[in-house]
Amino acid sequence: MSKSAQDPSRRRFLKGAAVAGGAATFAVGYAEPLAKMAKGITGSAGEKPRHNIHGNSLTPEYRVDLDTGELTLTPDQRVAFTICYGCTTRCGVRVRVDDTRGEVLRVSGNPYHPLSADDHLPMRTPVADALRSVSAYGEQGQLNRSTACARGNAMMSQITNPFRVDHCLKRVGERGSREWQKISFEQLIEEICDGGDLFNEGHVDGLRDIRDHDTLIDPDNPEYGPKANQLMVMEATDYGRSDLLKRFTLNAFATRNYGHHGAYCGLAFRMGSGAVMNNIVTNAHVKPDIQNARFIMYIGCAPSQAGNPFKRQGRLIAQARAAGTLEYVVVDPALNAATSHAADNNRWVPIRPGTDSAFAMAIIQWLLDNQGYASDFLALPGKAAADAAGETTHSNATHLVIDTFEHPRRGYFLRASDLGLAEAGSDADSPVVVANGELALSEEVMTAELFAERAIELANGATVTVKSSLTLLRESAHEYDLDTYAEHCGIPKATIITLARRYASHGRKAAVNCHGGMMSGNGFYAAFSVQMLNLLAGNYNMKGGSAVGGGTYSGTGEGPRYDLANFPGKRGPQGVFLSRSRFPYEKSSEYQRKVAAGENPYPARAPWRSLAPPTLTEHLPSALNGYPYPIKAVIGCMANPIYGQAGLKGVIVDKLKDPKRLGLFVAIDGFINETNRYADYIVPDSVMYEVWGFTGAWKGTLGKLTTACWPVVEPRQQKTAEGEPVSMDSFFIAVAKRLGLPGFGDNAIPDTDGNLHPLNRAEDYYLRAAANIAFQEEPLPEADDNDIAHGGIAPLLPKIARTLKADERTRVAYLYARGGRFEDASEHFIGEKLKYQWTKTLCVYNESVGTSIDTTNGLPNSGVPCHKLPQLANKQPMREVFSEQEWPLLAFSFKSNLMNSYAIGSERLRMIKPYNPVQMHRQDAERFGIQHGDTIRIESPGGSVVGLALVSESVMLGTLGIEHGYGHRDLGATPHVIDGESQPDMPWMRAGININDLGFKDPTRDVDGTWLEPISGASVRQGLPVKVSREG
Amino acid sequence: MDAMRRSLLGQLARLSAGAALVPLSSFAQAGINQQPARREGDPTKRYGMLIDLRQCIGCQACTVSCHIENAAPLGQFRTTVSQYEVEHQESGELATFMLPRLCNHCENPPCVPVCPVEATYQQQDGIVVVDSDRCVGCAYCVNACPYDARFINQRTQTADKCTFCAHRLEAGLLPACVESCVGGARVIGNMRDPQSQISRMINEHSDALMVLQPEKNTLPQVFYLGMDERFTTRPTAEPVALEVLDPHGQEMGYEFHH
Amino acid sequence: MIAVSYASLWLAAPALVFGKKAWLPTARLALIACVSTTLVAPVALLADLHQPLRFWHFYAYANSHSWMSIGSVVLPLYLVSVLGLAWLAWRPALQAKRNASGLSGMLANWLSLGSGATPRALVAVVGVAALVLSSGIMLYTGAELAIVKARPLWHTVWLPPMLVTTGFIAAAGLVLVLNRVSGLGSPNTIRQMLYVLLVACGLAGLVAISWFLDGVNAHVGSVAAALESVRYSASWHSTALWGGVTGIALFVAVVFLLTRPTLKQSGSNLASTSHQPTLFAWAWLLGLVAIHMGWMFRWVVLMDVQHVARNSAGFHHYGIPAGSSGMLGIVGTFGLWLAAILLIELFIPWRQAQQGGFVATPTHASQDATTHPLTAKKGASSHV
Ligand SMILES: Nc1nc2c(c(=O)[nH]1)N[C@H]1C(S)=C(S)[C@@H](COP(=O)(O)OP(=O)(O)OC[C@H]3O[C@@H](n4cnc5c(=O)[nH]c(N)nc54)[C@H](O)[C@@H]3O)O[C@H]1N2
Ligand SMILES: Nc1nc2c(c(=O)[nH]1)N[C@H]1C(S)=C(S)[C@@H](COP(=O)(O)OP(=O)(O)OC[C@H]3O[C@@H](n4cnc5c(=O)[nH]c(N)nc54)[C@H](O)[C@@H]3O)O[C@H]1N2
Ligand code: SF4
Ligand code: SF4
Ligand code: SF4
Ligand code: SF4
Ligand code: SF4
Ligand SMILES: [Mo]
Repeated sequence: MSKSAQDPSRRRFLKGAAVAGGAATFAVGYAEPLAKMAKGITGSAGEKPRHNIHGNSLTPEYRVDLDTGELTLTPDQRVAFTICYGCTTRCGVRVRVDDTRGEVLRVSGNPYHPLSADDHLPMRTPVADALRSVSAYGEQGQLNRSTACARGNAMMSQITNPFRVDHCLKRVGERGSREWQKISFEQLIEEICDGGDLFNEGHVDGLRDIRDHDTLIDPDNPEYGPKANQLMVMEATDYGRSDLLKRFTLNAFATRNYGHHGAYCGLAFRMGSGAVMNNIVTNAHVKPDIQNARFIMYIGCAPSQAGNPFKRQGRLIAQARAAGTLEYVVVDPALNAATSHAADNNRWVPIRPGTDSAFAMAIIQWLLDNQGYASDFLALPGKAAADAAGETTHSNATHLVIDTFEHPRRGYFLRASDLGLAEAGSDADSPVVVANGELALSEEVMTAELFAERAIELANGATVTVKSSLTLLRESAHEYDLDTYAEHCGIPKATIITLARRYASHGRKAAVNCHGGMMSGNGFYAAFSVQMLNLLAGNYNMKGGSAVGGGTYSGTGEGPRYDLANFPGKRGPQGVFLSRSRFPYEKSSEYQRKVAAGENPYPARAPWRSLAPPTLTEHLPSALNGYPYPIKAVIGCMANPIYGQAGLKGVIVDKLKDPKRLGLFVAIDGFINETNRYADYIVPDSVMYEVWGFTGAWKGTLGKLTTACWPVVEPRQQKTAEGEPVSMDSFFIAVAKRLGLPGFGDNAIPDTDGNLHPLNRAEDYYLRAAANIAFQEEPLPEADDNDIAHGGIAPLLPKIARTLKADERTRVAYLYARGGRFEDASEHFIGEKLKYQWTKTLCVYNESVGTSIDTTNGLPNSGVPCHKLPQLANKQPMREVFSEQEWPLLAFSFKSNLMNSYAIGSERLRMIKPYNPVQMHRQDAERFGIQHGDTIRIESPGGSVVGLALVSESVMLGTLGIEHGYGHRDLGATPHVIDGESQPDMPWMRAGININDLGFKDPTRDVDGTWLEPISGASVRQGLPVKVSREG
Repeated sequence: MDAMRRSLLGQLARLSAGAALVPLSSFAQAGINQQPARREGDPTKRYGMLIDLRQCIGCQACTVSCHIENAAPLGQFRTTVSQYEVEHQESGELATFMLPRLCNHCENPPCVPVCPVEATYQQQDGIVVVDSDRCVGCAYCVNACPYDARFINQRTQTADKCTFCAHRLEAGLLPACVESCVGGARVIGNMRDPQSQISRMINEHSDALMVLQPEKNTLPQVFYLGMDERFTTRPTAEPVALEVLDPHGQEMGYEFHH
Repeated sequence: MIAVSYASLWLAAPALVFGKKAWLPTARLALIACVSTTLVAPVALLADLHQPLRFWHFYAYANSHSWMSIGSVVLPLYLVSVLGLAWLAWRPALQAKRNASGLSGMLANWLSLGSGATPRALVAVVGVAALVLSSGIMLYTGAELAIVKARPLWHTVWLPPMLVTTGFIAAAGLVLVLNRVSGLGSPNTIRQMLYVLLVACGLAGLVAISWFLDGVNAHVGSVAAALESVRYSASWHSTALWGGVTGIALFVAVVFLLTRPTLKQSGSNLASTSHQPTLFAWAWLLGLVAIHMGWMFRWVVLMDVQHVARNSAGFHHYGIPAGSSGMLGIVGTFGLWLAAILLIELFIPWRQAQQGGFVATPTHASQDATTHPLTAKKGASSHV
């Protein structure tokens, strides 16, 4: 508009253009409001919600009249009870289903279920009353809640997850190239069973070839067993279907090699616990009775942050906090949700990762030096004494252990037979104690000396030194002084003493609990020493002490209706596990050969762990390395070790990709994860709420329970030619039938009358198991129509009818209408004792541990807890190999209270916590020039990741805390191409980091492996040496 | 915060919380920016919530269940739970502090009178609701709420907020967040009924109860037990940086805006 | 925008309503500033609604408790009065242009509604009415914000005067800029606007200082709380700082310009550009700064602050969202304003506008602008 000599018409044109330009800018700028206006013409610029006040809120599942309590079901909606797959807690939940669309609307807790409810309802409660009990009627639903956690609520999105596998897939191109083609289920079964040149890469042995029970894998090492062992089957854990998987694996196909995630979940803890509980075979463990305990130390487990059972533990600790009945501390490298500022009876005690044995041994030392233990209980030498004292159990604290190193019976208890008083191995061959200054048999005296030590002469004339278990423990506890322990674990000595004193002051109502924090380089002894504190308090089976829990109603054994444990043609597997566990190296041909050749048999080529159960941590790397033997096929079901085991990716991926090292890799899964992306075939599986199965509670519930699940919504994946959904169940059934294996197909399940029933469909198995559960002990009552309607099991009835005998149907319906079978709450205590008790002799000294040999050096392992700093496979301290100068920090991980290892696909969880910043101590941050919010690079001997620094004092100095559950590379984080079509690219799914990418290959091993805890073979994920630097 | 300020605020917090319990009768005032008369809802009831922070475990079950129950758009919330790290004054020890928040269904709700079209109003049972058919989406109420309890729902383009799950209360059921509160921290109820759990708890703990931002005189009807008074106002805290990074350390922005 | 509208109305008033000849060039400019912003502001406000087409709810469900509702009544009245005033002011010129060829002549013919005279008194009456209504606008826009307890930064009696003073700063700035781009280049206008800026900046400074002092003295005072609430927002700090610094810089520059001796010496012929201090040629730059100031103040105090979470540490996710609610919306509003002002330039002989005096032919007032009976209001934002 400036004055110019321009031709006026031109000026005018320019102005006109500018007007148009202005208006166009307006139109662009206002596109949204304009569009809204356009929509607004119909009444709303947005989506018009269903109701003007309630918006799009869901239609209530039923209505309850607040005056009369009358309950009216909502048509087209259904409430059904089933299992949550949101984490391994496996809570019983109530699921709201929209019947018109077959969709899950929302999830909450099953009020009958101890893992979900405050006080769970008695089993006999009519289902209508159960629904009423969670309503506002009489405020029942909040006086006594039954909940699902955030994940439990959010994970219904798994059903509609865009990355869900819904079709049988066969790889295109090399393993791991993320390209697939869809094939029919029948083709998949045929190729897997019969093999052939499946990928134009040469011949692949099918399962038929592999299932050879007559030929040895390796005639030079016959103990390895038959070729059938060259199939390995792995799964995450028992989400309710394990028994069917094991029926196939162990008893139909009969391979030795079945593995689950235990060794990278909490095996170090479980074994330490098993050592105290004298159960190194199934590794029993306990949880504190939170409601009645007065003092608990949580050492490496975080109630309300994670834990099994996540919800129940969180709720009980919250209630105890409010009620003020409990004081507790959380000994953890990081501050987490377990401690609450809102109440003052709890406290966080920071500890350096991997040093729990120092902390626990220091407490033990103080307790032993200050009579801070349950001396009367520990002095009970045997069952007779325990019975007389009204105790439920006793320990071996007073039992004498042969401690002369050279003696062949070193490490064994001194027994009656050693003194010539009984025949070895007979019932009378009981351990010997010192009572009233004299040697006595443990079953014959009522009390014995706690601290005994003497030289004695055995029946064979040899003189040996014997020491009571507690003496050995005291010696071990005094290996270092309190100052050294304090220095190692980073907890001030004064704090240690205060905690020991508080612990002792609460007597048998003090308890400890540990779990994931024990997955460190000395985890077994850490857990052994921590759990020893429970024994020193004498709190086992005590109200307010440590509870072993009620166990389950098992339906898959020799039940009252059907025998699901046995079948015609059943076999048992034979041979050495791939992980070389539970088999003494000294019995191996390798050992014999070396000894025969006059060589030092130690170290073995790779660790043999006679105490450990089969460990998946060793299975895969060992097999791919061919030691002890190579394998030919892997079937993985819902397992993701490459994401979950620190360092595994670096150790195995190249080999896993090589078809010469592994011929066939079949994965059964709902998703493509970091591990099964390398599979040759993927079998689409049902996901949560679509599955059959039965689960129990790990621990932490006092009663007996079995949770049942059934497809409360129709599975959405491909169907078999018979019209059944493709799933883990249909896969194993089809394979077994094609191979003609026993235990599957027609005539597979014997009933109590000896008649055989078919196993052709999933329900043939699970419904019969349900019948076994329903008929156990006092059989369940029969369901009426109301139960059926309120329990939402209408779609299940036809399956029950076509599968079960007439007299079984209503009782089984009774079970499903309630989501399982649960013992009533009133039955949990007998006086001051818990009803469910652990009665095996508790171990101050564990004989199996004390007599086991460390195959890396031939030395015996310690039978009592002891402190060591983390070591590598050759027993070199980790810090000798990875010095503090080079790797100044120790990284550890903790579970997200929101996420789990496979929840990243849930947008509602990502929306709350999209990412996992790295927790770093302010002083460390200063030391490395890092500021809050900086992008940092974290490097370890095995890898490097980039994260975001969250600087505060909420983490132990010298450590780096990483929340687990992020940093995915699959499960949607990288698109796969299926039949030429790419999955969506969702960058959000790869947000964050996974500490396991920082794991490393143990450099001191000959056969490749990750860093594993020496005794258990558990994956070390706590205390990884790292360094950090600012990025960019 | 210096000691002086803290104690002052503390007194304030306590006092107003006590005061907030008194006016159970609804009051309407004439004049600009004063409360219009309440309408609809059951006049025999006055709903309120008590959150026992000692029992909150920060599990976010409330957040997610509310989100599902009320079909909130991704990234928008009717209730949230913030997690803080708090240092103990004397010992220097750290603990976590969880603070669940939702609409306080204030007795004197500043969000209501501002609405130019009376789309948002308070029911006689105390529940503050929005009539989405009438709301023009001006967001004035969103700004007027001192508690960030409201938002413009991306999908409906109207103001949205916690309704105490009125649709469930009407059906004789509990709000989603209460029903799924894992720690058992959230208690809802009719405060006019002296026998209700909330009335009993208010009686029992009246000295310890606090409300958020009492100095604003909004008279919130969500009461907190186990509250640290420093949190009744906007806490002085260093926020967690939550830039989302991709595996290469590149900022990815936010998946769900808002 | 609405603040520029009412402030420029007041800048036009001396000449337009009260007949001060010296202010005539200013009035011409101020009037187009006023009309254009008055036309655009309601559109912007409407677009701020998430349900723009429900604007009729304002009238169907008016709520005497709500300042916004009151505003929704005042605003259209004000709009009508401003357009009426402008029409009256421009009518003589339009009438003069009736015989021009082409579209603009037709339009002038049509818009001028006959050839009757425009009574001077009518202009004054409508003008006073507009001024009164504009005070209503000042009041409601100020009160609307000041009653918001939720925002310490808003909840103060100092905000409304601050809005008004910064409105004047921006309006004066706009007039300066228009003065330059229209080629009018009136030195009177420059000087007048510089004085207006001087006074407005001074007042704004005083208000800001009393606001601040008031705030720091009261323990729950708005400033203290406000400062506390944005403690960790670096971006808020930098924008606020920038706002303050530009304010002071503007004030200093205005004083500097007004005290240039050349001004005093330039003597008698004020109408001649060549006798102005050379620096006056750059006054429009100050105008830009002033607009920026007015804008910044609003941005910092009204928009930016909405990112502060009110009840938890931290902030709502930051970043102006692209799309209508954010940057594009701002650009769009500006585009619309540009279009409005260009349309006026194209079709209205505003340069010739006096203030009535010809014979009026009163008929019904029909203005294309009444197709925007818009009433939405600010303070509303979608990025909360
Ligand atoms: N929210 C949620 N809950 C879950 C799961 C989940 O994924 N998410 N998963 C379930 C499963 S499978 C399991 S096994 C349980 C596990 O439950 P937990 O054992 O309770 O959980 P973890 O996070 O494995 O480890 C517990 C704590 O150990 C701490 N820690 C790390 N290193 C050390 C150390 O060296 N010493 C000590 N003292 N502490 C250390 C961690 O910071 C962490 O807080 O949780 C179950 N519950
Ligand atoms: N650093 C670090 N590492 C850890 C842990 C840690 O705290 N920190 N925790 C450890 C612990 S305790 C454990 S238990 C392990 C867990 O590790 P794993 O048990 O190996 O595996 P998960 O990742 O839990 O997942 C099993 C797989 O099941 C599939 N899946 C998920 N839902 C469904 C479904 O509904 N149906 C079907 N068919 N498939 C489904 C997904 O592909 C998923 O990847 O990780 C361990 N690793
Ligand atoms: S704790 Fe939560 S996620 Fe885990 S099983 Fe229970 S409800 Fe599901
Ligand atoms: S919390 Fe906010 S939205 Fe709720 S009633 Fe109070 S002011 Fe209104
Ligand atoms: S957004 Fe809706 S409810 Fe809120 S003030 Fe505006 S019109 Fe009223
Ligand atoms: S009462 Fe309902 S709407 Fe309100 S926070 Fe709880 S679940 Fe959400
Ligand atoms: S559900 Fe309950 S315990 Fe969990 S975060 Fe919400 S209020 Fe806290
Ligand atoms: Mo686990």
